Amino acid sequence: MKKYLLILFDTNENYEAMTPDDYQKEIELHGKWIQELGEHYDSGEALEEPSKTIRGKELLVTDGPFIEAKELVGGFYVIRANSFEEATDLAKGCPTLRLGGAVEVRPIMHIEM
Amino acid sequence: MTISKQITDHLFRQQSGKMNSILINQFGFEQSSTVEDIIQETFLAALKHWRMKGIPENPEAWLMQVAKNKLINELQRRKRHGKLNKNIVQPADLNLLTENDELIKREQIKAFFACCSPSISSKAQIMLTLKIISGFGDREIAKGLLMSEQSVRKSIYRTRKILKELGKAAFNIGKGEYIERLDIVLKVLYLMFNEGYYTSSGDKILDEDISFEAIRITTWLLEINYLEHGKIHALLSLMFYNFARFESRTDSSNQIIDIEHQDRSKWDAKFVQQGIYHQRKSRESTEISKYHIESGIAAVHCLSKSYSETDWNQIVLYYQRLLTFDNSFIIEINYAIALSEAGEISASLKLLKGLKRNRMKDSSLLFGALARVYQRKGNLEIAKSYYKVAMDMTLSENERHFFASKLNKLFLNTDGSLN
Repeated sequence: MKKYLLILFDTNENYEAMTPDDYQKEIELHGKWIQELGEHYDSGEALEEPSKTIRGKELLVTDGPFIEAKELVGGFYVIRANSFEEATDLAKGCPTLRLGGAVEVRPIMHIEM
Repeated sequence: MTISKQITDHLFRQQSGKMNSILINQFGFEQSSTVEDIIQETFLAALKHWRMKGIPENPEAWLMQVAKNKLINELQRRKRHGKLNKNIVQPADLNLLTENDELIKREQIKAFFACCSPSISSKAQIMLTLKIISGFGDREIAKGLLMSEQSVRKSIYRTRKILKELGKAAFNIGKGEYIERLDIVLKVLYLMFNEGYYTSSGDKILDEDISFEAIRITTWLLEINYLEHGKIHALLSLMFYNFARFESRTDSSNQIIDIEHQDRSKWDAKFVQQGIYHQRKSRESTEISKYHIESGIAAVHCLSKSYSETDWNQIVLYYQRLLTFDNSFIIEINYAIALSEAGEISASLKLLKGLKRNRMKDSSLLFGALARVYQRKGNLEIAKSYYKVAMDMTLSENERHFFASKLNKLFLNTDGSLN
């Protein structure tokens, strides 16, 4: 199986009105999803704010990523799948989508030698 | 980290209650928005981290440690900006967050008594307790108490303002205050239990959680050895007897089933046992409280094999005694029903017809009770018209449905039995 990167875009305002119980339920949904992924799950990391972008040989530093201001990359998963289609289908199960977030799927380049 | 590890039910709610209690004791009500932000940020960090990597080995400790770190950072930031009043905050006390459960529970009891300040109303005390001690969110409190989320927020804001003005005194809770406030505290827990038990929010799990939370906090009180334990046991007994019937009180579409038609095999024996245990302990009391009597009534119901075997004469005696403590409308209504079940129909009707209604809600209860007593008497036409009036008067959809089904049964079954 090939590896795919799933990048999670969160819309942070969705978290503001959540109760402690809501947070727990949201975590449980992710836990369940990862369990269902089974051997497809490889690893994952959460990302913290803030974020800076450095550009070009002038090393111009600016705040934030260059996407829609409300969305922030909250973390990424590495999953294994047999095809890009399968990886995309698996990504559709990511619970963060229920809250209006987005998931970007990218194949991780791997060259057989 | 284990991906498949489960979290204990309501862990976050309980941790929120612990953090809130400890931090509110430390910082007072004037810092409640900071405290709330820190807790919210802690949960957000947990969500973002755990969803990627799974649940940590000790989720409780993880949450407490993260909250503590966040708070230390916040305090240092404020110190740098010169905003911190050194007299108020000693960051060393934050170690309580990572203390053992016994110590944390003591903090929660203290914060609970602070929330039951005599300066605020019962409703405000309940809301504050649910929020601070039990970790419920505004939305859940609103739903459970049949209020709008906005009015819950406004009310909590106003309450905090009052308590803020008390300053440090709000947390000046020693032996004297514990003893003095016991009656208030028991009343808050009694009402909180009833909010879950009798007020149907349409969310059975939420209702059950609120009632169970009242039980959980009541058991804490037994740890303060100089309090009058008899009353506490009496309230616990009452709560457990009622809680045993939680499942059977509503059908699958969440409609009310009255005690006559409840499936008694669904009554939870383990909670009935708890009811019996605490009732026994309550007899060690030096004085009789209304909780003693109400627990007596609940016991008669819980221990009767069937509705027809219920000892109504005993219940009538209990209600007469109860009325000397609390002659509220709802108790008069229940007394009248008990009288009619004990065969005293004309006494029952006389009582009902003399009752003064003070609230909108009273009318539907009164007409529902009249319908029932007339049905018992065999005057089915009068019973039908009273059920119709009760249906028109009620503000609760569930109650309307309940009266409608009673009325419907009367049309189908004209022999006057209460089936």
